Amino acid sequence: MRIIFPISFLLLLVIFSQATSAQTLNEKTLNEKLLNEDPAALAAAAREGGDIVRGAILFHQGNINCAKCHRAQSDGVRIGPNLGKLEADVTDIDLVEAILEPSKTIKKDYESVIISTLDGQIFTGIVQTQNQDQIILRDPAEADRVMTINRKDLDEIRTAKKSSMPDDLVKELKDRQQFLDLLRYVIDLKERGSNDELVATVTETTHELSSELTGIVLINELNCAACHRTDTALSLTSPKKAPDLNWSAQHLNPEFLASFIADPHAIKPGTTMPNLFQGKNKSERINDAIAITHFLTSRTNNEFTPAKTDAASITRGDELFHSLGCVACHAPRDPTSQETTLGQSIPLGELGVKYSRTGLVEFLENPHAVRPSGRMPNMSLTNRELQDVAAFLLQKAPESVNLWKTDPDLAGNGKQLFIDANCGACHQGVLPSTAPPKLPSLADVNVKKGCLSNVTGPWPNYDLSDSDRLAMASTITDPVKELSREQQISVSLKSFNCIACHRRSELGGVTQARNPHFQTTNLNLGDQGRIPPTLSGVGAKLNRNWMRDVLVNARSIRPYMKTRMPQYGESNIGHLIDLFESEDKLPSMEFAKINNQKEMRELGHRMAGNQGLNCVACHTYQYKQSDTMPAVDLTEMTDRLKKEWFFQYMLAPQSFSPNTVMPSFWPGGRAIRADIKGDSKSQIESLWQYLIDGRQARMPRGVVRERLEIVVTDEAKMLRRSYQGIGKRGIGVGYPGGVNLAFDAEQMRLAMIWKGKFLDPGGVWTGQGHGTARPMERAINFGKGPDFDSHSLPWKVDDSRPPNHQFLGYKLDETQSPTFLYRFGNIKVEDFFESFANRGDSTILRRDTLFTSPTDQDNLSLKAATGKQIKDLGLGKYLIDNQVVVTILSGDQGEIVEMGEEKQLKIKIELIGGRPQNIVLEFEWK
Amino acid sequence: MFTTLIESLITLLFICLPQQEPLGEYWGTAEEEAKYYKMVEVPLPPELAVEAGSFEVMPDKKQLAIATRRGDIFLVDGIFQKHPEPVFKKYASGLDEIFGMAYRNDAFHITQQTEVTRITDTNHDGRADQFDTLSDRWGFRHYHEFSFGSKPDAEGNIWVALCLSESYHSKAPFRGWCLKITPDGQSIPVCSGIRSPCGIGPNEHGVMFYAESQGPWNGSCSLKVLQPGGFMGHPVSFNSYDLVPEMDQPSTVPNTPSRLEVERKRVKELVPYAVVFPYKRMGRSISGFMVDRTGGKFGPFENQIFIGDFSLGVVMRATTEKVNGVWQGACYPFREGFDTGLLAVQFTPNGNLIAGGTNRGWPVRGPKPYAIQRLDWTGITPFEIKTISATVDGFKITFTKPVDPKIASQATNYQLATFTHIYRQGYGSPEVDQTTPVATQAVVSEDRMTVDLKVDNRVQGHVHDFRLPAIRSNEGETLVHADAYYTLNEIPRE
Repeated sequence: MRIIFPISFLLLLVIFSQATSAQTLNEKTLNEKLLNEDPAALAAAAREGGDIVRGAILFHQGNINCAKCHRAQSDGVRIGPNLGKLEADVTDIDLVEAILEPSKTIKKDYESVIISTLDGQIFTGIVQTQNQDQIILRDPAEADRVMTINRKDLDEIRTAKKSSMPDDLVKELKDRQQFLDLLRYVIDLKERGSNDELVATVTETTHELSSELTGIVLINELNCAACHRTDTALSLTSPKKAPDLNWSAQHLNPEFLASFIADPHAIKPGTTMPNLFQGKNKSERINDAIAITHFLTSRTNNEFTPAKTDAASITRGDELFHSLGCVACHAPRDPTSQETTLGQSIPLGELGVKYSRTGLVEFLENPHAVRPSGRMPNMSLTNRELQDVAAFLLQKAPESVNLWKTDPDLAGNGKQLFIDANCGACHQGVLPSTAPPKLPSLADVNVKKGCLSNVTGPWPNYDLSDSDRLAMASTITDPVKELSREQQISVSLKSFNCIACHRRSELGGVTQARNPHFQTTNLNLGDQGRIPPTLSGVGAKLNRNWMRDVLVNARSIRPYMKTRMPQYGESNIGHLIDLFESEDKLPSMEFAKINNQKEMRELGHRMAGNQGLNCVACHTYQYKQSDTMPAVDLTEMTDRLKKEWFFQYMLAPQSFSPNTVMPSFWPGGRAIRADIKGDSKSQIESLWQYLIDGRQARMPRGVVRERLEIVVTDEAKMLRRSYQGIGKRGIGVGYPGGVNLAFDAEQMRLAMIWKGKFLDPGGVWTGQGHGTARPMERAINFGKGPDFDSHSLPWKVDDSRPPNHQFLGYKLDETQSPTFLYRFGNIKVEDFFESFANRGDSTILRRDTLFTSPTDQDNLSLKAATGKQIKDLGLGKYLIDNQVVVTILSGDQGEIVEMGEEKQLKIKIELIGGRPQNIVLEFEWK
Repeated sequence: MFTTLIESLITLLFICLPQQEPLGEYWGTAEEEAKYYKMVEVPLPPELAVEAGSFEVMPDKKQLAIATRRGDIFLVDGIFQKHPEPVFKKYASGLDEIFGMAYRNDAFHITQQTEVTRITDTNHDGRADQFDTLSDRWGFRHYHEFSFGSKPDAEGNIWVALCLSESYHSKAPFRGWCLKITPDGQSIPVCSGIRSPCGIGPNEHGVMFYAESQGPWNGSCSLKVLQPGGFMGHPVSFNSYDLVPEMDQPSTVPNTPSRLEVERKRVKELVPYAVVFPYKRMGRSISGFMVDRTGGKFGPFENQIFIGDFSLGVVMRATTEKVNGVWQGACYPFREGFDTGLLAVQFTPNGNLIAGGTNRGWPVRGPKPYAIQRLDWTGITPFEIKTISATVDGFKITFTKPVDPKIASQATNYQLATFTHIYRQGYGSPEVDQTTPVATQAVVSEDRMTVDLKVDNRVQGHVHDFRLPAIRSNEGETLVHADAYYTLNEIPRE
């Protein structure tokens, strides 16, 4: 069955095509049309009929997004005028003109300048600051991008005649009404005045911790405590354990292992694995590493084979690798799949010589089995995704490798080397656990000697930078007594690199270099649709259970974000739940009084709908996405959010998330829909009371329903369901050729016929399925009661089941057309229908009904049709209600019988025992 | 116009429902459960809406048949392999909410809302062409009259549990009844009193049970035995006794509000609910179930019942036993975190458990409109309460692994509590009549797998709630799930 799902992106396409088709030559664009109107009239129309809520949504929506530039900015940042701070003499008419013709009058300080430099570069932007050496511009299209031009490089500077505000903004609007809606909101902004205190300012951020915390992180990540005992844990974040070498010996290329052990920093620059043999010369090192590898492989069957990959899989893997979030920590790859040298990346090295495809798949499927400390998270990849990502990463695998044969003698040497080099301190599970080496405790180490010195010697070399050395040394010599909660959080966020994606206050966030790899499936959401949410204040935002679910089970409510929330393991990051919750607090607030909860819930339900604040214009309701964007599901809000946070966010979304496309419906604390009952607090409380029903919250008006259609092509289609006027035992059939019918399998009758498109099953395939399957076109209905019955004593018709009729099923022919089978008393009936669409221009349904009786019987009749009026046209033709002509083809006599208000066309039948007999009818639409 | 009418009708229905409560918390054990039972995704073709309502393993043991709420039957290859790569072929379509399917004698036998149908592919082209109505004996004229059919019993009969009209009334013949449909199409009424079934099949002893949902006359969800001549608790279906001359209508109707334990003495046909699933803690719309006959391929729970839940997307376990001639037993948490509301479960030839369903129509915790997932045992035995059974003076608790005998032999390490529900016409019930029995002695068996617990002050008719967070395995593990719930209808006499 081919079913058409006009899903939301199709609807979007429709909207876009409407917008663009308006630009054809003959037709005036919306902008031109609006320019032809009197601006004063437009302003008046907006005040009169503009929908402020829809305007607020448009103002923030991705493709228009006025809010991106017109918002309060930090000092010295100028992009677009703050519409809440316009001069008093700005009129409604000025606003109309500013939207339709942005370049006509450009507000002072917001002119764009065009600068050409001596080396031929051209910069366009709004001047932010300038002095005798430099001019600093900001590109309004990319507000975070600042361009600094040295005056000595300057060739020419001129003021642009065009405003940096796009002059074709209106083309993103669907129609005049949308313009009026937007204008109405802008007028309100101007009149309401500024509320910049409510907008978060963009501040600088860092990915580095203070030196003392850096030392703690490094000591943890390098697992210094594996050798240097320490009685007090430095932080709640557990040290990073080394990989399980049993697994490595089984799955990795032994040659890779040997070369890596011999010189880890050369093979994988930046690795936390130390060089353990730096005191030895190169060939000694290589021999030792080979011996250790023989020892490791002697304990298992090595299963490494170089990966085989295919182009399609590599391409898909490339897409996944660069969008799922892998490159938040690892370096993106260039078009030749070479790892780029982006700073602060966790190195991978050439994986093709390390992993087999099954090995890498197994590792990625559950990284914590091999690396239990969770630094490499589980990305919840499906098997297909695992195969593809592995293919992408292993595409440079060698054709073949030398067969590795474990040498028992070398393995013996290797074992001793493994013991001597103290490998087991970090790599547990290879040898029975032994006492830790007799080395000074961490507090007692001499930070000027050994690992932390610059000197080569018989100690591990971690290839540390001087600043790392200093940080670790100062942590050891001058340890922080007790970390504050926020410091604990910072150490964890750094250790697990949460800060590659998330920002918490001044720490972390997506860097410019990695920004392009954060992608969305829905551009309407702007940056909010692709940049993971802030962690500032997250403990005051999320309910405890929800937070646990996100952190432990990677629960996600943002289907539009391609980057996935990884899983780190509860034992590794579970402590963050308590830390966030106890550290993050919102100022307490008083909620509105609940006088009548039922009334408030009712009001909240109306507010969520399209007659109220139209939450469903953007937000998903119970998995049903809106047709603009899949903003977070309304029915999960109260499960997810703390009430205080919800209230304060509602009042000023931008103060929590500057990127959000969520408008405030109570800017400055005043409701923009003053006509809805209650003040701001009470309105928000009403919404909350409605949302508190969660998944069970009633559907608000305006939720887009999935539109369904069963399309008939070259075969008949059926659907047994409830049909209007039939009850529950209906069977709809659509025939190729464009005729359709519904048969009543409870009363054994042809209940309705229609021509054209077949069926909308929406009423029975959505929700609980309580509705009816609906013909796509207007149907002709026939009266109730069985078609084939006693002639003189037919069943007294009601809604129930006739006592002597029994449905027996149906059989399908090669075109999937059914023959309905039923019994009346001992008479078997086979009822077959087909379409004769191609005879001339008319649409014809033919019915061929076959009766078989074991005995002779008369006093039977077939009801061929019913209607308010039946006209005998002669020659066995009858016109029913001036809509359809019924022809009795089998030559039997028709008889028009009155039954109350209904007229029936009946054919009297006599059956001879054992002799099948049929009646053929045609229904031809007029 | 008609749509508006329907919409307002639905609104009305929603308003009539009692004040909504939160769906229910997670157990919080998913991460631990995953070590023992891995959840494997079954990728579905994007162009198909596979709202599974019933499953069947085909005789070749390679194909899985999936029947859906939208009325399709798919034959699916490649779903049993380690990483499922299913290939869907449509075998039949146009049917009406299929909640029951079996393949016997070269034909499908399905239960759809309207009828039990035998479906055959007579020309062997891979698509059905013959649809024979075996029985449409029951009335089907109203909203929410769902029908759930079992796989055939040993005699080839399909047992059909018929939901009440609008889930409250009995407005058409046999709504609220179970009918047994014989292979030749006879319809034999079995018992009355059903409210809103969502699963039907044999228990581990081969006796036919069904899954009942919380609502009027049902304080919580429960597994009940379909006892011939019995009364399942909701008296509104008594009106169909007129159609069953061979069966006597119960001479009394139950009082409301009351207790089941009290009313079963008044109404002798009333069959006590065998395994009560405490609301929200153990699902809130228990659904399709199946007994593990995998011979140990699915881990240590062979011959136990595995049952899904629609609202919370969890799979639970249950065990039953007959005590003094009455069925009773226990339920245990098993695995949570399914992506959608579960309607059906099916063991595969490899001993894995397929589970699927939809989130359509009622509130569901999982995020997907429909999904099919598979649980594979990792081969690691979880430390769990395997079974609880009643003894003359207490309970016998069997574990999946040897326990630490020092801890397990201290009676104070067994926290017990009991409660029951109000048996009433109103919707559901809070837990009432709470008591605290006391474990007085715990004797660990020689193999350390079983503990014989002597308990004072057990209460007949109550659910006995076991909390064992202190118990450790020999290796020091805590229980994956420390809770279990035993419904004590009868106390063994000997």
